[in-house]
Amino acid sequence: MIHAENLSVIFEKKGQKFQALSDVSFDVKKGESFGIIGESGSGKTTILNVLSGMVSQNSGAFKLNGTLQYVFQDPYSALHPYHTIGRILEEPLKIRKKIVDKSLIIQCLKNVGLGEEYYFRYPHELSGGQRQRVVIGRALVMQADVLLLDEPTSALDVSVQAEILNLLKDLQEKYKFTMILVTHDLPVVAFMCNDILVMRQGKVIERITSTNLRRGMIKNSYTKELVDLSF
Amino acid sequence: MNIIDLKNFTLSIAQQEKTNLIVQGVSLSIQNGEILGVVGESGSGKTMLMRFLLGVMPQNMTASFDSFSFLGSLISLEESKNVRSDIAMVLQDPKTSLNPVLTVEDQIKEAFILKGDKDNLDEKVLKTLQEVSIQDPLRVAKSYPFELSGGMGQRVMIAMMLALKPKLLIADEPTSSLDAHVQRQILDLLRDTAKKNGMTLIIVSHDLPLISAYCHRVIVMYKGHIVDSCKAQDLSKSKHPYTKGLLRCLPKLNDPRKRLSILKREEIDL
Ligand SMILES: Nc1ncnc2c1ncn2[C@@H]1O[C@H](COP(=O)(O)OP(=O)(O)OP(=O)(O)O)[C@@H](O)[C@H]1O
Ligand SMILES: Nc1ncnc2c1ncn2[C@@H]1O[C@H](COP(=O)(O)OP(=O)(O)OP(=O)(O)O)[C@@H](O)[C@H]1O
Ligand SMILES: [Mg+2]
Ligand SMILES: [Mg+2]
Repeated sequence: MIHAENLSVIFEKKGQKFQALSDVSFDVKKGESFGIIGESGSGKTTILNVLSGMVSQNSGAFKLNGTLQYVFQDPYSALHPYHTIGRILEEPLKIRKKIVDKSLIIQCLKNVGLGEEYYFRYPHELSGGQRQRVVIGRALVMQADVLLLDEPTSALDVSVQAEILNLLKDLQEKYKFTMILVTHDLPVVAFMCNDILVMRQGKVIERITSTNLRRGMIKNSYTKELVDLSF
Repeated sequence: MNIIDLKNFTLSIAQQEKTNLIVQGVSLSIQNGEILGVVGESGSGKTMLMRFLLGVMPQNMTASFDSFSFLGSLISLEESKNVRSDIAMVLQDPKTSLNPVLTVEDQIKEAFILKGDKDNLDEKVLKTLQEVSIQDPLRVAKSYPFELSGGMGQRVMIAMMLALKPKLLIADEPTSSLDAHVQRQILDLLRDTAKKNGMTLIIVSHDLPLISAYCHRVIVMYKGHIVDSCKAQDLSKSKHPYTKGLLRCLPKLNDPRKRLSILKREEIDL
């Protein structure tokens, strides 16, 4: 479903070059959940930006089949400030010429634990976690083939997190979409994903299964450190 | 001495002909030098309570309280609406709260200048960035916010707020985009700074184990109320149904399962 080979990204400014990704390769099968963890600034978001076409790679190539939805790391910037939540949820459906009725949108809000009353609210009238849920709800309503999620639950309390993670699993079972999940939360990535990529300084330092991560069967010392230092 | 003494604080908002209560009758005392953890439901009023302490409330909200004192002086309802310069706050959405058209360097310098500190600013900026575990401070200093990763944005925001040398630092989800390694370094830095400068620290977070490990005391918010409060290290032993419910929802690395437990909200009464 997703095949990435030797992706490299270099950001250049005033003659200064910075290599954000070096030769990153991975495969994700259809219907699979794939995790990316690693150091802050190691290029995790950049990988998703390349897959979604927001950043172009300087070398390497990737193949991605089907439609795509991207839940950004920064939920606030992803919501139009002057549109109501109802409109924000309807718009992408309308653009794809899908039939939109209000009950579908209400259901979409309900899926992410928000009541009907949020339909007429504006993004600035929501808490951080409520905004994040709108963004996730919008991505899910599109029923895309591939879902890219960047720290989707770090702004949520753990009870809402549990509901959303369960929901993602249920929907994935039903619709067989493919998911890439970026997170710093090791228990979350182990719960959601079978296969996990560990990044550091723009490079893949290890690819590990969640079973091995749980059992401590870890090859790389930096990955070990991440496990040991997690609360 | 208490740095904050707040009695019976309520925050409401008029919406479509009815009044919604965002925070309901909360009383809160914070000791000088204390590290207080705030956890709780998404939408329970954590950020709004913190914004009230700082003195930056949305205009459509109405606050009331029986009494409010900060640093030993009583503050009237009118005065409570002004920003308190001895408090700094690291906001929940760091990248959107940084100025998009200024480089990191210029933003941190602004913070120093605000404190009347005008010498060797270039050097100070680099040192500050190193303190928040930025690996290549020279590049990051010259970067604009859009050129930073999520976790780098969070750290720049923390660096700026520490440069202000506040008496109270409120950090709203300060480390949610940081890997375990850097997260520890930042929390250590906050704790050390608090100790060295006699700064009081409030950490708002959804990460219960983190709060339990780093704070002295923790309060738990649910639907606008403080429903539970205990020594941070005793958080996992709490008897309150909401706190217990939250702890049960946490995924665990050593406990593989197909589904996570969820909270039964109807079983929690206030
Ligand atoms: N548009 C850009 N221009 C210049 N540099 C960039 C740009 N986007 C990202 N970078 C740099 O690339 C590196 C990787 O950034 P990225 O956002 O992918 O990290 P990340 O792994 O997602 O980190 P975090 O966990 O902190 O979000 C960082 O050093 C960042 O400064
Ligand atoms: N400007 C506003 N107008 C109306 N309601 C608002 C406004 N800002 C916030 N709210 C509501 O106030 C409540 C408390 O919001 P607050 O941001 O304090 O939550 P929080 O506890 O910080 O949640 P989170 O953990 O998701 O950040 C939420 O239900 C939110 O929808
Ligand atoms: Mg990122
Ligand atoms: Mg908040």
